Amino acid sequence: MEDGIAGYDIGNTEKLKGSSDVIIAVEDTGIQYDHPSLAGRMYDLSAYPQLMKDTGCSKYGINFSRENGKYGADAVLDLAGHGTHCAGIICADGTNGGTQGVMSDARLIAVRTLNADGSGSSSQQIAGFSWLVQAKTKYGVNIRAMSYSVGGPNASYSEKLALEEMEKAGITPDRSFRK
Amino acid sequence: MDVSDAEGDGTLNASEGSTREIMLVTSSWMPTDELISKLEQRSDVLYAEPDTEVSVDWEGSEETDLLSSSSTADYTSFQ
Repeated sequence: MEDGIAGYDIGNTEKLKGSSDVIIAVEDTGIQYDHPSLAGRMYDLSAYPQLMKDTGCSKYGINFSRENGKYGADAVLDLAGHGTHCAGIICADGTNGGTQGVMSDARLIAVRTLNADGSGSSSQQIAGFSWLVQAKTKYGVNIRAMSYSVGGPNASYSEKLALEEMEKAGITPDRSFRK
Repeated sequence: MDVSDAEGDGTLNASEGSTREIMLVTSSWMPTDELISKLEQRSDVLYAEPDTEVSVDWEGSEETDLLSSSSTADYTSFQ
């Protein structure tokens, strides 16, 4: 993870840090969950055994990419770096003088929908959105926001609808999306 | 493979309480437009479209737009 720009103001003027019971999902290439600045910020879904059993997620999230296999913590391990980059912006805890995220007290879960080369399909993205809605509305996981920084040549109507469903479920998509 | 067996990789319920599905499909055995047309005739399908490739927004992550767009977020909602 590269250092950020010291003193860069991204608008968090009240210096809020989030809360450990607030979960932010990173739908991306996964997260390097053992990174020194992120390891203490990963939410452990072991608290929701039925969710793990029903959906096949691991303790740090779920994998809808075509790599790493579906089960086990390794399934959401970031092999590209982009998801880890986004996770760091959100809530890296600054361990050993490293980067500190804007919500450094919040917790992360990984929704891995992209391969190591950063590619995936619209259906994989929607599978991720649907899982998040299910995890929140059916199993009670307190997911409040989602980082999503993905694009493609065509805008997907289905993705738009799925994102609207997420917002209805109380999950705010903070996305940098290009079509 | 019959159209009645076709399934997209990802589906989601069209709306709460509805069993009609939105489908994203790819096909190597029929033109995608033709498949979509047939799927949309099914009563359990609300809408179908081609499943398309997406990728990480490397460009966006290098631009400050990502950061500046965050400045509009209501951080208090995450406390």
